[in-house]
Amino acid sequence: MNCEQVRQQLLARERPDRPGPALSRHLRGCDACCGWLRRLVKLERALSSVPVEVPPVPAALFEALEPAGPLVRPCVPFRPDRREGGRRKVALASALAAALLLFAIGWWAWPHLQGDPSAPSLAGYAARRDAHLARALTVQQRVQALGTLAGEMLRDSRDAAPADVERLALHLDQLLAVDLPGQARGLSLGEREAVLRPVLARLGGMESEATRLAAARTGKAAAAYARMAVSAREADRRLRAMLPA
Amino acid sequence: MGVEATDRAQPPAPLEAQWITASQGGDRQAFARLVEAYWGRLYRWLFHLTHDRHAAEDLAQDAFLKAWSHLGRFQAGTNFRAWLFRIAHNAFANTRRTAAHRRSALPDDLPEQAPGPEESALSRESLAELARGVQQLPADLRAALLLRVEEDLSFRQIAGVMDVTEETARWRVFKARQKLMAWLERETP
Repeated sequence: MNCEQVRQQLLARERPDRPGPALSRHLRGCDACCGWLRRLVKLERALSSVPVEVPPVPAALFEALEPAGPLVRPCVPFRPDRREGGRRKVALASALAAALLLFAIGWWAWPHLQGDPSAPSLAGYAARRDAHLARALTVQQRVQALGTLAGEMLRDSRDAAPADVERLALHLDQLLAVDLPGQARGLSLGEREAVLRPVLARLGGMESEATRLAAARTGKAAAAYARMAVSAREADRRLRAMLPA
Repeated sequence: MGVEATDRAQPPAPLEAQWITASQGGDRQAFARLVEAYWGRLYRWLFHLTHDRHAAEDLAQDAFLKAWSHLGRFQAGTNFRAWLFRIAHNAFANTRRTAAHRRSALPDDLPEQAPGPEESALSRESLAELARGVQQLPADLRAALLLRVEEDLSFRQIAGVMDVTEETARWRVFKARQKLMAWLERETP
């Protein structure tokens, strides 16, 4: 190996200061490369020494911490196995209905238990989501309905007060992180391209819009819009991963 | 305000795991401890990326708020610091798309700091030169290099933070080092 090759390899290592046997052999016989490596290592160690004045943690950050909701399990569409007998189907449906009822009660009660009525919560989200889903008869329609709802939420936020924008950001995150991908997984492979492409186009527009709004607003509203942009972008990634290769 | 060694102290892993678990259960006090543990190093990294104190502070706040609201998605046992930095990097990437950063020049006088073993080997002028060299790097290269050098993340972890392949993470660190070495050789006699 010549000097240029050795230096290239050292630059590409996670730890240039641990060159390994092959590179060490060259370094032992080459003062120029040895000196070069010493400068590189010194440079990297010095980077940590560049002083930066770190401000204290803003009090507003602690004040802005909202109650964390319960861990949410993805909404997987119910697909009964046709091979099961009728009684097992009824039992499963009953258990699911009971679980959903308990979940809805817990969802409603959680913000009240936290005792901070001013903090944004998911209260109201489930009802709005379910109202959209109630009109959808197929999985495709449910995916489209949730995509439409996402756009409506962003539109609603435009003239909203900062606290409402925060609330909508939380709702949108729930929609895009959990409910929409959950429904999308119910699509057959053959359906996904046709159903998900328009949703992806909408998500791209939402991300751009939310980013623009984040720049135009300040404080909590700006942070909420930045969250919305991230939610849209991550949902885009999740749904693209579901498209057929 | 000031530069403190505790800005970069890592909490012991078992303690951090307790704080994370408690935070996921809704314990704001536990999350506040995580904020205090990571605020300094996250701010520092964001300051190097943005060259703007206010932007760095806003992004750091935003990252912690997002981390708090998405804690349910964090998998216990994985690297919380890398996860947090990833959130911050996403926020930084979003702001890059919308606004040109107002670059504030580095202060002529670097903050006072008691010299440690490394600083005694480097004058304040040299550190200022180095800081300017880092500032010259493109943001993506700078971000990757600092994650490698200051946060001691592996190429794989850097890839996770920046949402790129491991090869791209390695390439960015490579190019950052190459450019920095070349710049310093030009600028220093």
